Amino acid sequence: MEAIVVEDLWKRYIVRSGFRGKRVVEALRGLSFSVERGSVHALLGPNGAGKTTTVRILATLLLPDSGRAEILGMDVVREAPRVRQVIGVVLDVSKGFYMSLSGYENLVFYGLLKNMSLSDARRRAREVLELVGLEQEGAAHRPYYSYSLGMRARLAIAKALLTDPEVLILDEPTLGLDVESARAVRKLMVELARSGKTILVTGHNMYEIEMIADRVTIINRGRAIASGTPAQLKERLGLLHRLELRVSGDRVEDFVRRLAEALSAERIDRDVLEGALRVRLYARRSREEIAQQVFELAKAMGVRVLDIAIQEPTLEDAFIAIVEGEGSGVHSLG
Amino acid sequence: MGFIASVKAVAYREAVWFRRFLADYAIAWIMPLLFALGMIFLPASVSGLSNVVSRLSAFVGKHLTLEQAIVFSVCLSSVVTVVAVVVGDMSQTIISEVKILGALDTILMSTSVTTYFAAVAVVRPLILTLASTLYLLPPLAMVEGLHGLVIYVQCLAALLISGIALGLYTTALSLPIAFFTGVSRPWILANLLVPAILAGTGIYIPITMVPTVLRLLALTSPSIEMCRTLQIVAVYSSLSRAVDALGAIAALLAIYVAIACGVGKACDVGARR
Repeated sequence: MEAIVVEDLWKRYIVRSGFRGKRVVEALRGLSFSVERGSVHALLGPNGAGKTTTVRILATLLLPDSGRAEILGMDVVREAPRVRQVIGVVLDVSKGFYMSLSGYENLVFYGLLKNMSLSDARRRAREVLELVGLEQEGAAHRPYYSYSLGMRARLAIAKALLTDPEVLILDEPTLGLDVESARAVRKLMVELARSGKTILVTGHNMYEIEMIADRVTIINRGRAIASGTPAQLKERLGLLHRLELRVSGDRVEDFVRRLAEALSAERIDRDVLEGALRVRLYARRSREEIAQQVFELAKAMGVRVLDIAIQEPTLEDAFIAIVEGEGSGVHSLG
Repeated sequence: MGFIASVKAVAYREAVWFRRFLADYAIAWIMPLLFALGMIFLPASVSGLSNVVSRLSAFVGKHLTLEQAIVFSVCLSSVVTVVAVVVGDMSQTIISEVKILGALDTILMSTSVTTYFAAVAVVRPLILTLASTLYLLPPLAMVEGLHGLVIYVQCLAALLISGIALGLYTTALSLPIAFFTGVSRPWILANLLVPAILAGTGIYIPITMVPTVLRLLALTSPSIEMCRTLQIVAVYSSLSRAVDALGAIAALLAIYVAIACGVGKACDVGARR
């Protein structure tokens, strides 16, 4: 069951340049993708790819020029008030709050604006502040201007959760956060997804996205250019695995040569370190296949494997390859 | 999620702000009170109290006692407070919300620009006017006793109606500036508009001495009629005698409602495109 469906979405902006000049920017050019219910779906793309425009359209803040966008079966244009009841949105973690109000007061204000009763808004504000860890830190009743960026990010997520929405749309929720705060926000996102919420998240931190996202859609120049799980994206690219080995024994040179042949290695680097041979080679094989070849060959040739590391291609490698491929006109993935 | 929800939210936020900015309100109470008393006692230190009271009586066209002169002066000082607080605070807050705080997304995600700012234009002036003119009560009660309370209630009624009209006036002016211009300093409009309106109103000085351009600007606001209403209430202790001035305020209020709603819709469409 799909929670978010985006189909052939187009959006153009007219940007003023200078006093009289105007220029048309095509932010979205027929973007299509869908997000499964209860999953964490990441929207990746270089700056200006159209991520924030997509998020703003889904959040009912912006009207598309054409195309269709639905959340839980409701059209974001025609049924915007109903859509707003089922979504929670984080757009800019350091904006959208009144400086002189405390985090708690900001949330109660937002709750009232969302048609909650005063008692419900107060109760819910306390609950979500506790959920994001601001109540424990005693920050809930401090003025917003005294919050650190990490606390502001958590408050922004608390605001998105205030109405207990089924779908969360988060635009770069960890942007500018320190390691500790970013980790806390990531943990929160994973916990929310486990509790059944659908999360659409954008971001630039590939390591982070790889850790939390079930599926990824890569967009560039307003179009989706690849979609799948992080593993699928990496696999479908056919990227190399990097094998790092430290071996010792009488026949290590012969071992390396035969291993390179067996794995059809594309590049081999070797050097001697503390009496052992350190080898680094790149092979277009699966992890399992590489490990099996190494151990079988080592056993057969009486070579001691002192250390082994098989590194997978990262999502960042996949992202760069896909975006660069798209830029050069190569549509490697659909 | 409509008007009532926005009214509740704005009222809650205003109540919190009132508690938080009590010291600011104290200034807004003390300064006009000093102006009002200074208007009587400062010239009296040169020419004597009876001379000041008789000149004031000649100005309003009715014989006044010293107590009535003080009541007149104190009541009139509330025009300064209400214009400064309602126009100043509201225009700054509207521009801040749109340009600086990024509160616009929160508003658009909950309701429409029209609905939210309609609630702001009605609720904020009510609370701001009530809170900023609380200082009237003690001097009026001290000088005139129970009758002072009656004058206060009548003044407050006139001030609240005028305050809402001023709130709508400010909203109608601030929204297009916040949405369709590059202005990003929240105090720009407030710093220009408040002194211009107060000068154009002719408060404390005869209107004939005010430059025409300022009088024209003040004529677009309800401040002249508000000033006239307060003078009548202070001198005759009767709001019913100010019915034509109140009628003019009501007419202006209707015009402001129409303009503010139109502007709000245009801003909503502009923001979502």
